[in-house]
Amino acid sequence: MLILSVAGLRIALSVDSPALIDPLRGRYAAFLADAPEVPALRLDVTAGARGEARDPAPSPDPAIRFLALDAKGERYAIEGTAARGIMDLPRDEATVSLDPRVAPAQLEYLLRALYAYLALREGGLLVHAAGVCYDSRAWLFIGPSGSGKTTVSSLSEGARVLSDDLVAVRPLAGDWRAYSTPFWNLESVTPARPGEAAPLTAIYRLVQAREVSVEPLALAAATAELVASCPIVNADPLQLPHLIETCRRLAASVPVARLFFRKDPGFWAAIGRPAEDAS
Amino acid sequence: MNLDSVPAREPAVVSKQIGGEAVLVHPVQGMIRVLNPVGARVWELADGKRSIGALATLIAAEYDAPLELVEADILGFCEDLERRGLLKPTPLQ
Repeated sequence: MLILSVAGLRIALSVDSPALIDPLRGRYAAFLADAPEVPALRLDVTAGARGEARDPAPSPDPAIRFLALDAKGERYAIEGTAARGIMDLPRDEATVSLDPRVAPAQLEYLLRALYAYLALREGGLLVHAAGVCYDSRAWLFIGPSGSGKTTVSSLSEGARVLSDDLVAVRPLAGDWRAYSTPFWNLESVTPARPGEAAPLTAIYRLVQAREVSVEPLALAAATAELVASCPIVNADPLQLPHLIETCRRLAASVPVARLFFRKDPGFWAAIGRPAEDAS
Repeated sequence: MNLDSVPAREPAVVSKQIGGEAVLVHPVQGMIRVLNPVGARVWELADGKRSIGALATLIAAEYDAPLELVEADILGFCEDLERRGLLKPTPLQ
């Protein structure tokens, strides 16, 4: 069994296939924990559902759908091109059967989705964002694919990057903290230490432009931008009321603004990172 | 749509009033929209029971605005939301 720990949320991962467990151990090595704490979720994976023998190899598309089995959004059927299973949130468990030909990709997507649900359940969010840390403070940069999240990460010299794709945020003692995750796009920037977290200073919605400027967002617009940046759960009608309220609470506590930026580090001056934090 | 049309919120849309504005999320279409305070009020009133004309009369009174202008604005607003799949006309009762 592997214990994966992201933002303090542990998934106890049980895999019946030796051929799959070693790659998983390598893929998530930096986020594996060994302390036997009670996990947030137990995930049992069976790598054996090949489907019909006549079937061609499954599509490489790893997308998995979560279909609600009740009106509360607590139990879900898990369905993908090569995945079948159940997620039962009240029982803190999920079981899934994966086609071994595409199991690593399906499992990566499944873990991202499970963490999206778990983070929301715990009052936090898994945000499609680049998270950048200078000293003890974190900034989030949100926007759709291609908006510049990886670019901003690589332009932040001396920073530790929590992730350039998915960052977890959770409330803690009246504050919001941003956490590193193993879910990355590129390895071209200096990753933060696994499990690293820092108080969240501000969130910027990236907009590529010729000139750098910052435009604060009103609470409703900020909430909408955050909802748009929380994949998986923002497509689930049963989770939306809780998601919108969680995003509203985050936007009410942490400044959210549009950042019009060009591809140079000058945006940090507009953001106002204190000089003592600058490297 | 016209002033006699009776608009209703699309049931799939999840909405929340925030700071006088409204955040609308259509999870099937993946659409998110923010309505200003007047739009948020229209959204709140679009319960499938009032015609656009009746909505306009209420809004004109609440905002002390000329009825003809309000009717045109709200009709255009409702048509826009209908095109985006957020509102739907319902048959007159």
